[in-house]
Amino acid sequence: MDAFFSAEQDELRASVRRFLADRAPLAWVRGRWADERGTSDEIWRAMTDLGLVGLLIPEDLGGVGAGMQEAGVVLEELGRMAHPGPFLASSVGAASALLALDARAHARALAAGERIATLALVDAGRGFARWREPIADEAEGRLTGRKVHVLDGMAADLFLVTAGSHVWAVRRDAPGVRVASEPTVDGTRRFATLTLEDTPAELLGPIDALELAVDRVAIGLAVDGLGAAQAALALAVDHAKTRVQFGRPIGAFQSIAHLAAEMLQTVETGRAGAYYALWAADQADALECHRAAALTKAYASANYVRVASDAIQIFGGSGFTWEVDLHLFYKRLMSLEQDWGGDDFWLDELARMVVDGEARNE
Amino acid sequence: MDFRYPPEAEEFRASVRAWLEANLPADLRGVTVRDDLTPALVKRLRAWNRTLADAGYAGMSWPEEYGGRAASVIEQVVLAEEMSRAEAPGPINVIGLSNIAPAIMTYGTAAQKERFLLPMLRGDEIWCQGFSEPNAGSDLASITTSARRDGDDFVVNGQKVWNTLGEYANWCELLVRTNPAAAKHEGISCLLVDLASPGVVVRPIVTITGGREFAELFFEDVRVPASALLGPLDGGWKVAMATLSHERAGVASLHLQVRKKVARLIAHARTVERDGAPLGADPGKRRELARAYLLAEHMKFLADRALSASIQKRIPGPEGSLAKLVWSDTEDAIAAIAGRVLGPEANSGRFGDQRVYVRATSIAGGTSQVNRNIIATRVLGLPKGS
Repeated sequence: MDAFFSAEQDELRASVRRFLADRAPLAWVRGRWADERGTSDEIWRAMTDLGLVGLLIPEDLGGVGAGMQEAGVVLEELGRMAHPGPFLASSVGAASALLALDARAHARALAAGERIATLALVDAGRGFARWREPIADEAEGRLTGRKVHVLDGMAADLFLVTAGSHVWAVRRDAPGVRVASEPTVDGTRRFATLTLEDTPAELLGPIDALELAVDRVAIGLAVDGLGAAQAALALAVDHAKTRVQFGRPIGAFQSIAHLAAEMLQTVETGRAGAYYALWAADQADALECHRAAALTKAYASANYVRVASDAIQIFGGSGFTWEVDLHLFYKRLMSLEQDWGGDDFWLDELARMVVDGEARNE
Repeated sequence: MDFRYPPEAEEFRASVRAWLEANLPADLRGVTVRDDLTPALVKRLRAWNRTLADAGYAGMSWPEEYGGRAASVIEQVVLAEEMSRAEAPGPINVIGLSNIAPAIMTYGTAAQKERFLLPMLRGDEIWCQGFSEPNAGSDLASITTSARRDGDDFVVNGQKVWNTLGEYANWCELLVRTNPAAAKHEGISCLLVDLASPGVVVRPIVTITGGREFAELFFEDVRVPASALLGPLDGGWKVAMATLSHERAGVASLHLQVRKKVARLIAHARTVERDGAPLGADPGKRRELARAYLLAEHMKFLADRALSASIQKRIPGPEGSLAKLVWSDTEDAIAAIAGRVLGPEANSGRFGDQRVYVRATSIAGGTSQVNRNIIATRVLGLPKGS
């Protein structure tokens, strides 16, 4: 029984934290606010050189051969720095899918930083809840349809698209492909709409093979959210210690102190579940991994945004300004509420397992 | 990370499971120490306490010299899990075993250890804590029950409340004021008091559940020998804190009963039909059940982190301080969920009782508000309020 990261994993965390502080601090994140790709060639190249981009891809395909625990360390740090860019979409989601589908050449290109990929699951007019039953149409290897909420679609040059009962690889420069940004209030995460019209596609395998990748992105988002919620809590606690009103630091007022204690309660409870899920994603069977993903994602979606909104409350008026960094985390966590299935979707997944099924219900 | 239990722990689990199957009396299955206690049931639970102690399953963490087996933390956790799985009641003398014994081991004289620990372990003498008073709840250090030195005795006067098992207890770890002139925390001492002493009156408190698990104790010129002093004279505050720290450690396995409660709720919802379909088939109720399950599982995740910190001998994180708060919030949420899932049925029987009992969880053992003060100042480092 060991619920803690190893010394090597702690070192990885330190190096990612250093990298982000040096190269992509919050000022850099603000600078990318309106940038549809959310990253720069320079930063993505640096992340590739650090071994982050190919973290989950085996060494024989040019990657690092690490697991979700390592990816989780990276994601938590990215969340703490409200980092945009396609690490989760490409290095976690698409990489996991390509490995499950044994699409080795694509995985190799990802690890080398030559290609950025993302999953395109949700059909226009439908919610995430029905990702397993796509309506995008396939005929003789050509796809027609529209996918929405494609994570980091504007940065991607390869789309893993569900159509029929299969997953297909679609290149961005293929005929009939249109990609349009979906602007949201959150400038720290990007989504796009992918339109395909009689677009040639490469068959990769059955949709079932995506279960693990879908779970990993859910876990990844929860861990990212943990990082963002921690950052919001840290800002709020610092502020409560230094901001003086009525002759004392506002943190000495119980109304503020209790709010902060509740925020910590949310963060630490979420942390315990999120780290367990990282372990389960590496070590447990598919059912347990799915259970852990549903637990941690439902918790994250239902709770983390409250930490950021309470942090803004503690800041008072200054928390409502563009200048103070809190809104970066608030917006990222507000988005997390609904991204990749909200808590309703993941609670329904849980109910399938624990009300209908027999998953660990002792 | 590795969330599996080591093979030795699984071996220990198998032996505990087999022992419980062979030794747990059928009529005690499902009974908890909290249930409506009658003298007859108390007698049965004391016998069960003795059986557990003689098999080495009570006070398992105690050092061998006091009759324990110096069990590892993970063995204690496995025992708790298996007891919960078998629906076996814990030792009735839990306050003594978990809270008072460690204080006696740390602060007691050789004679006190010799006299008290073994009968405590076997449940031959039931113990209660005499800490809270009508005017000293969260502000425990403002107790006024006094102990005045008179020859070889202390003479005790005052009133205590919320004494768990007080009605059945033989002995009491009593917090008294021995020096009214000293500062609030510095004039307090701890006495080990025989509740059969003349001048002690015990009166049960009927709680909002109608149960009588607590009592209030009245002391009128009760003579207690000076040898009953536990720890230094006027140094009782740290003895009290040592006692309470073990109480807080006990919350680490609270997830077991909460998860059991959720499992029962889910099982019930699967089988009970309304309008021709199981409750568990209703989309809204399914989500509520999943939410209850999610909260209970997160208690387990937090407990695992605390357990791991203890095994790896890391500096304890905030999980321990948070466990009590998370527990009471979770109990509260689950009680509300039971209402939404079961409808009017949630207000009768076991579920109804639980939905009333839940009010104790955010008060007993430190209110949620006091806990938040402690977390804000000690964990987050916020300045103390006035």
